[in-house]
Amino acid sequence: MLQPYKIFNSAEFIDRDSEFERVGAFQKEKSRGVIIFEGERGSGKTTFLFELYRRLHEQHELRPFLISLFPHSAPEFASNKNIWLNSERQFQKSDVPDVLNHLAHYLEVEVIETDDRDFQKDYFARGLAYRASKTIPILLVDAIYECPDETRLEIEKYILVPLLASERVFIILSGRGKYPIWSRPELQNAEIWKLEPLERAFIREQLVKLKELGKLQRDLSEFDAIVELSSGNPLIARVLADSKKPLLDGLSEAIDVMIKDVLPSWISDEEKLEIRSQVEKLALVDIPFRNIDVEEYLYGNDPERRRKTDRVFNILKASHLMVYEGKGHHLNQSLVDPIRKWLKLQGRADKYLEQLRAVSLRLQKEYPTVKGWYERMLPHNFTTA
Amino acid sequence: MEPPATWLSVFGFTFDPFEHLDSTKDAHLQEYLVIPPAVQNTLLDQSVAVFAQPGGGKSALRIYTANFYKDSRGVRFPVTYVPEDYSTQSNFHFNGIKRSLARAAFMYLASYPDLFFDLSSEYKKQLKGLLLDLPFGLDFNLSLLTESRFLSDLEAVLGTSAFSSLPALDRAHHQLARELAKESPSKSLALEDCFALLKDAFGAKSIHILIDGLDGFIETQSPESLLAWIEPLLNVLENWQNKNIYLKFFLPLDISDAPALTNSRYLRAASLTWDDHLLAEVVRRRVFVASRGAFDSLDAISAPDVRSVELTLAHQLGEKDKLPRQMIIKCRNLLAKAVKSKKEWITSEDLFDGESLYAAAI
Repeated sequence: MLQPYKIFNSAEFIDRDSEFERVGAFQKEKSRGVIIFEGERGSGKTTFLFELYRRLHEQHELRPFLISLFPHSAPEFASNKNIWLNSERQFQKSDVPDVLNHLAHYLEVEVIETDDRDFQKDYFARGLAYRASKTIPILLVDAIYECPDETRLEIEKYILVPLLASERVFIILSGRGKYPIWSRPELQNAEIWKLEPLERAFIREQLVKLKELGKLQRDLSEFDAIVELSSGNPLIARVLADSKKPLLDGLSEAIDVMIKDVLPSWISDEEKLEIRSQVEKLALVDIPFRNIDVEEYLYGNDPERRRKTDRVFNILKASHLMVYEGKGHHLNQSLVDPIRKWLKLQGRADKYLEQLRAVSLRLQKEYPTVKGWYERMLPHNFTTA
Repeated sequence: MEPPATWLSVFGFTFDPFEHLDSTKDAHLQEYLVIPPAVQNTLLDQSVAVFAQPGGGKSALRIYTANFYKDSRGVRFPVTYVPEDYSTQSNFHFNGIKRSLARAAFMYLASYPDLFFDLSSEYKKQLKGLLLDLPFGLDFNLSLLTESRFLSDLEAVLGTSAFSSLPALDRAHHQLARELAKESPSKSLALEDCFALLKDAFGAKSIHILIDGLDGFIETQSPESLLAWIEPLLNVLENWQNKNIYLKFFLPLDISDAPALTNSRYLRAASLTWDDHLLAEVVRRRVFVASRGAFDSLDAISAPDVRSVELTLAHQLGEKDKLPRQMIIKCRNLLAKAVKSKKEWITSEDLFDGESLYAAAI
């Protein structure tokens, strides 16, 4: 059964007015284009894209089609023909012909008939490319960065690229972490718009709405604390609101959801605990870091520390919770803020900080030409409880 | 000096991003080609002349552009024309373009064989007429359709890539070969009629003729001779543009200031030039793709006190060598040096001591 935060209900939606206005203005000013909404874990990308689809669906001159790549549910869209949504499983490469079929029907595309089933996908794609432009298709694809490479490549090749051959078309994608390797210039040079954390007032509004809809057990007196602990992240707010545990334990549960929900399925429960623990430590590193900067901090004198650090990094990157950008790796800020709060309130930061300080000093000594860089390893303005 | 195969995994690469100096052999070109802003209009619906010196990325851009149009499934129809020699016979270029057009049309039919069956009898005859200009003759190419297993087999023989990704050549291809063999050809079509046929029968909205392979001309003849040689093509720009037919010239830098090219209303001229930041980006994109998105800088596999590896390498190139090809050679040598030192990362010694190795390589 899906968790409540994976079920879309437009009545619960809050804010993002400026993003909707921006999309509207983009559509009016341009005849075609690709927009990618990038946001960190839990920032509300999926909810935003579903709500955007709902609003576009109400505009008769537009032909929106939504593809949700991860399990979600949206009962209010149950009768819609212009959506690919599965509450049971993730989208797979083998689903592409089915989506193409739906899309071709919805966009009234003429497709060459063939007796060879294996050829149909290519003919559908050709049909999309040659589509007569009476209406404006808008394709929305949620979580395109996070799906497996082979799925994304198939979607790009057979759906996005043919659609982009049209003179009038909009493609709106969402993704977390590092942009993927695109082969098409419109995708390589897409408009990247960040979905920032919500302002506190909107997190409060989210809680009030949930309360009004009878979906919240928490007392009003806890709202301020939830707003503070969520750091503007609607997913954390939602999990905290749903949790029956004390707030601090609820925050830990929310951090677990943030991390463990997106780890690859082949990770054992034991390793998930290990990842959580290392993410807590990494959340205290204030500079972009590389494997060699933090391996000792994570694993001390363990002779296998290089290999173990590589594994943790690979898992976090595969989960799009960490990216390499500029001078090193960055953990999603939406993890860093709540984890720091949780560590502080739990009184668990001191031990980590002591280890981090020792590593920082060693690196400063060993590499004097970059001493200033490693001096900044410890979190700035962070006081333990 | 070829580094050992294991260096790839040591540095976290799934393939060697600096293997190919010849872009025609590079399977990842579409994923990591850097297109300088000055030449980005190459992809637009207009005729362009792109100038660069050898190694400056002309052929890479030409292949990228052809693939870009192929991705449109032929809505924008690419025809690559690489002159077989530098003949001065009249109609030399137009006959050459017609042969290139026949090759592209044949590949299009092989990519979407079922399309042919629904065409009118007149279009079928005209297509057969066009295909008589195929290299090696139509019969040979029809035998390829029946005897080959994959589109890639045709691509290898014809030297042009397919428009679709059909998993195998199947009975539709056999039927296509049979029907084409049986069909009686129309009388020889004029080039302009061939263009019209692509639009009417295939639905192409524009045709883009990519002209490359002219660096060799300059090696034996003057820039003025090259200009005179391509003049027949410059004379048709206006007429063809009115029919949505565009010429994309990939030319040596030696003629970049010729008024016939720079002052034409129907031709946008742009030079493919490189600065340190663009060259650094050439490396970063390759690193990003080869690491499957794990990191986008050689800094990630460098010692803690080594930063801005790509820019450092670009700075080290002499003014005349600021070209992607030279940058790739430098990266090859840097990694070879790092591997030789048996460390798991690039050190400052590797980075700054690479000069002598680089000099030896070029």
